[in-house]
Amino acid sequence: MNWTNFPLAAYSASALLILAFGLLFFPIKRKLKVTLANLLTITALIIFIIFITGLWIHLERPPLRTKGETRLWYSVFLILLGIITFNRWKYFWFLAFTNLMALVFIFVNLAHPETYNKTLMPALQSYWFVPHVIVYILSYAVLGVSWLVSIKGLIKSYPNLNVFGKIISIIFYPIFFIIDILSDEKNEDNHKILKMADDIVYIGFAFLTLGITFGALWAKEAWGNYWTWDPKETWALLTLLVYLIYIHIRTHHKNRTKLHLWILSISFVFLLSAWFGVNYMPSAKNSVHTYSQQE
Amino acid sequence: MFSIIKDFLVCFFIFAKKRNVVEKEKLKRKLFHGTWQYKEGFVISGLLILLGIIVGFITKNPINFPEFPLNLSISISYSLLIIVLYKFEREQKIIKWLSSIPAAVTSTVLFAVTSALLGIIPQTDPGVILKNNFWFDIGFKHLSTSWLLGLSYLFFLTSLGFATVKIAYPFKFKRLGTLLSHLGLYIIILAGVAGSSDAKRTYFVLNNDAAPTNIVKDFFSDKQYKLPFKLQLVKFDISEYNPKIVLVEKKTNNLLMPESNQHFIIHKNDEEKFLDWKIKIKTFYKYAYPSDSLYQEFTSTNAFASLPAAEVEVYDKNDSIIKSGWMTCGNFAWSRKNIDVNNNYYFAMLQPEAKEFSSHVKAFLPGENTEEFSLKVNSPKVVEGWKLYQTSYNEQMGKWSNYSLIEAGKDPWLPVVYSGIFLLIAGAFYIFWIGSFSSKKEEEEEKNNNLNEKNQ
Ligand code: HEM
Repeated sequence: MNWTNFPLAAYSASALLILAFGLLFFPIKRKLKVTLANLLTITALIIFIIFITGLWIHLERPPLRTKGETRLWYSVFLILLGIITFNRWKYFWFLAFTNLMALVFIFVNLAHPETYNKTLMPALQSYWFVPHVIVYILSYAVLGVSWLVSIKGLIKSYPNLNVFGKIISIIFYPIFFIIDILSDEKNEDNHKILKMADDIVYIGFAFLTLGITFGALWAKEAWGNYWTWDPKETWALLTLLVYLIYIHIRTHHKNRTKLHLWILSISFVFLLSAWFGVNYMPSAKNSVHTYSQQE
Repeated sequence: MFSIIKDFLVCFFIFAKKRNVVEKEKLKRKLFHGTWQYKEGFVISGLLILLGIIVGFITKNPINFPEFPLNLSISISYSLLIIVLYKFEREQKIIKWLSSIPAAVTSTVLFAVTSALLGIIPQTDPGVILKNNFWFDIGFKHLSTSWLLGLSYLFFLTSLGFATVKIAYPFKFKRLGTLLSHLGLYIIILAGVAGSSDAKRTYFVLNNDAAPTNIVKDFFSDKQYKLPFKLQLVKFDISEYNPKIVLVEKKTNNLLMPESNQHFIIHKNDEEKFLDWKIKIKTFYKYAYPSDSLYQEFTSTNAFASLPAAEVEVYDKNDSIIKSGWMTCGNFAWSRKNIDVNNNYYFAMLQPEAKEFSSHVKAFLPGENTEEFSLKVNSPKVVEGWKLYQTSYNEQMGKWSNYSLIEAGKDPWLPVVYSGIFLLIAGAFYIFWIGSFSSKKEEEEEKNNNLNEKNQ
């Protein structure tokens, strides 16, 4: 099996993933929906695993060297983690998200076949690289959802909104609506909303912890040191600390719901700075992690 | 609107806004009287910042943790101190507070603030000391080795240590997952800092035909390191892929890929289409010498400075030959030779890429023992506690490189840090699986209450 077989595997798996994705919005019985979504997504996963195994045998080395090969693993791990998380938590939006992200990587591979032969920069050639990126994508996505939940809670907390607040709530309404459909939960009061936010934050925080530790193990391999106080690392740590504050404050003072919602929504600002802002910080001039300049 | 802004501010400065009367009573409580809360935490954080700046200003130098064995005994005694204090003095106000959420939160905030400074302010390179620079003196320019970070670290570590003991004692199986996270993080932070002073790393060159040596000069900083053994390079080996051929657009210098979109790697008798042309390899020598000064002919050889060369034919759309001749990618001794197609395009051979390179090395250990081994990328070798990596070679000379660049590193605390990392990872899996602890607890309590009501 080699890359010429890829379109076949990619299109059939994509079809299954799209079906699963569409299915999630259909108003059929919950149990049936879960079973069907699982069946479709797991079949797509199996197709990919067969393709990768074939490719591995054909290349006589783990297919981890080129960008195209890396994207292949992104798709596989996203689908895999999607299935695991979905079956543990039954969040439809999560499966929808992982399937969608997997599709994005599949289609990038289909659209840019010429990248198959380009070699990765040496530092990225590590087994920790793919899992590191995947868990980061997932944790940012999940924490993003927890942010939406916190915004929803905040809008609820201030019934007498002025015009500005009303505009914000109208903008977000479609997103809340979709999440409500996909999460199957009716959030009546702040306590319920925060409970849901807690679960989501814990999932996201687990991924974040994995991301930062995999990153450290990778850095040890690539740069010989697991922690160098590089701006990117520092901001990742900061994000972790901010969510730690939320987690610990939540275990006390159960009734300060507004405070908790505010902390949760502000935490996301730190996350965004870690993600986008680092390259613009004055400290970034000697960061080893700003690949964008080299590309 | 006002209340939104107020709540936002309250959140930002976690200083509690009190709602009911009981809590209003607490608000009137004098600092450091009664049960310590967030306020005390922020006051302590402020004092630590001040102290860090003042001590930094007085000592003026980056701090280094003591080396082995002092770092080991400090780490162990500190951990034991926390355990003993918690065991016997846990009713003391300070101990109680240090193992509480307010201390955890405020120490995390302080640590986050110093980290944020580190993430925003540009830092000087490690080892550089700026004289008479106020910002450097107080630590803002070398935060990772400053008293400021050191003290916030200490507060954070202490609070985390007490939290760990509190969660572990008395032990409940239900808390195992939480215990793993806290213990893992404690180990990482303690061993990471304490072990940093024992970690050494240097890059050095082993020359062909040089005598064995145990004094190596760092490739980048020229600092000398003494290894506990002597090293000698027996042979440096490199194997290369066959070179690639590309079509180059003269105006833009763009490299064009063949029609198939796969790189065209030279093999004898292969052919490949580029735009309107087809190029065919008639002869290919992986290592060749020009046999005349005009580069008309090449002969196969394995002599020093030989290079890849190919005899090619270029066909147009009608399958008739329009060009033929030898091409080569050139090296440090010979210049390159391309095949011109027309005024706009030429074919060029790219430098061959290294497939694998390795150094065959002989180590002379203490006590007359010797050991021979080969170092490859991604296959390091540990000798007397030092891990040796193949890093690079004289890339300009490629296959004929006259030296090998080796990295040697030593980090005796690594296994400790890694065990912490794996505890933390295990904790993360637990957190993922269990989800929200607080809601779990509430559900259980609700269930228990319901049961109790039924029983009554
Ligand atoms: C990966 C990092 C961490 C995670 C995932 C984590 C998670 C948790 C969780 C879930 C609890 C509630 C446990 C329960 O109620 O049974 C907790 C309690 C606590 N944590 Fe953490 N924590 C982390 C790091 C820290 C740090 C850095 C500190 C201190 C600086 C800390 C201090 C505390 C304290 C004091 C408690 C309360 C213990 C008690 O009252 O029984 N934690 N933590």
